[in-house]
Amino acid sequence: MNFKASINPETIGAFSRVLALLALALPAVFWFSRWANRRLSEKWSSHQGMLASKVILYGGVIMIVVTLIRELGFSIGHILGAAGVAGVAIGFAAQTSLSNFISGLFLMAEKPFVVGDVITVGATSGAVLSIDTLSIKLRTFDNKMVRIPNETIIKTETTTATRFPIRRVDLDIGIAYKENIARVRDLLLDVAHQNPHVLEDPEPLVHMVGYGTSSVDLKFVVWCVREDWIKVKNEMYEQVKDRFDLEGVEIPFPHLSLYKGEAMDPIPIQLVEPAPNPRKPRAKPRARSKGKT
Amino acid sequence: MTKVFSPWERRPLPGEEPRPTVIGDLTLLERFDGRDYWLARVHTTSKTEPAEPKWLRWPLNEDYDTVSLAPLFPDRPVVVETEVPICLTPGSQTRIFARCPLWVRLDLVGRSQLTIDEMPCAVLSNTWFGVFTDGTLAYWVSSRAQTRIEPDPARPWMAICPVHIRNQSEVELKIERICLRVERLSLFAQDRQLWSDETRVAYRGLDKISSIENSGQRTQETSDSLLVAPPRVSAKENIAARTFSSLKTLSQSIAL
Repeated sequence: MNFKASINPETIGAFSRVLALLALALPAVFWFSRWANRRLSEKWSSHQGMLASKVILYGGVIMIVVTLIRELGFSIGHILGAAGVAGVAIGFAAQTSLSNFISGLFLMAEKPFVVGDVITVGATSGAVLSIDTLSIKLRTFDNKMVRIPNETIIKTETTTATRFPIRRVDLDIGIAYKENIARVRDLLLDVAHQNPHVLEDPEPLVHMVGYGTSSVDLKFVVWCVREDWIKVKNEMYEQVKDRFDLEGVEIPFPHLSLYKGEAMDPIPIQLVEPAPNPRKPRAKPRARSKGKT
Repeated sequence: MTKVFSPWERRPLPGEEPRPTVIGDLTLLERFDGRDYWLARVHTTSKTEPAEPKWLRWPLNEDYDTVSLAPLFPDRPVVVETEVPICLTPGSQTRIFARCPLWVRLDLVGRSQLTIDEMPCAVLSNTWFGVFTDGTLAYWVSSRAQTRIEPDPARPWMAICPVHIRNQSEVELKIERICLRVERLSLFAQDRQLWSDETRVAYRGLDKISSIENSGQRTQETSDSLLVAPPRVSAKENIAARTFSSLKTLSQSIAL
């Protein structure tokens, strides 16, 4: 091949256009993508900003690549024909990716959560860091990053803990059978009213759950704003325990009553002197023996 | 003997020894060591033990000679129950008064003014005004709104808020709770009693949304009053917001 012969004004022009395209268009696409992300995140949400930024980035890069191919003198039709044949093979290989991609589109349209929400998918809970074309990234509460494919999100029950502004805190309380339930209910409601983070409306409620093996089981429900949920849960358990201790309300531990034959008659227990340990001989009272000699 | 200042009276900078000031449930402890201003605040209610004061220190770069304590409304709306439920037939109107606990803003004043802190004079519980999926976080005020009210100079940290309600809808309006957008209210002082400007609420019946207007002017009860504090947010325009609710609407719909 004659290299010198191929260098003509037309080739130099095409080469210059390719260089100019790479030098100007590519940085412009990256800049525009970042700008859209920033502006749209401020105006709408970080999720929408990220989505728009990726559409601009991928769309821009595809346009640049197509233009480059044409500038270099290749036929797009031939390339697309070859790509069609290869596409069948790639399609089979990329089934999972395609499924994740399409699931990602559904996620973006449905918006069950946005970046920053706290969600639970299966056994994994965490804050959503990003919603990408193939997967979402979660930051768990022990600071690990978890990547969950979009297809899994679509197929699995997903709980968004931070969707609504207020949340309910459920507290399971057990009291001894001897306690007066109405009095305990009043005490619990008073504990809730004393905590300024507990919402007055919806008002706190105490429900009787049933008779447990060792306790009368109550459910104590209070409401708070979602940001206070952990704090209120901790504070309420602590304050209920303190109040019960102060008022002499017993929180029973699991216990078992044994009866001998007849119902309701307890087994008689007689306290006796502790038996001497055969392995440990009793110490001789030396002083007394000395005194006797 | 230590001079006792009334709550909103300006006072000189404190000395090395902590100087207490009690306003409602709030006890402020101040001291000045010649270079730094120290402040601790403790909220004490009849049912809680006073907590240990936690001191905060402000290094001062300028000379200040006076401490100013100024009243202002809370930073969020307040929800208040009416003394008895009020039923307003279409076209009728009423005027009620609610008492609202105030906040205090502490400034150091010299050639310039340095805002140190804003704090509530009473510990107020949170409450939610709206539905489960949307609403407003507000403070709960335990005192009830009444149709007649007397000034209470013994509690200078409580302001009286007049509310004029007109039912412009074609249905009866039952009022049990009112959400007062106090951050839009101005504060006036008359004879040791603090008053707000009047809130005028027009109920139009559309999804319980009301038109709320704050005049920013003195009311008929406070014609000789002084403006003490402007509203926290501009109240030039009317707003449309949910203002009334029936009691326990949220609570009754709770399912376990």
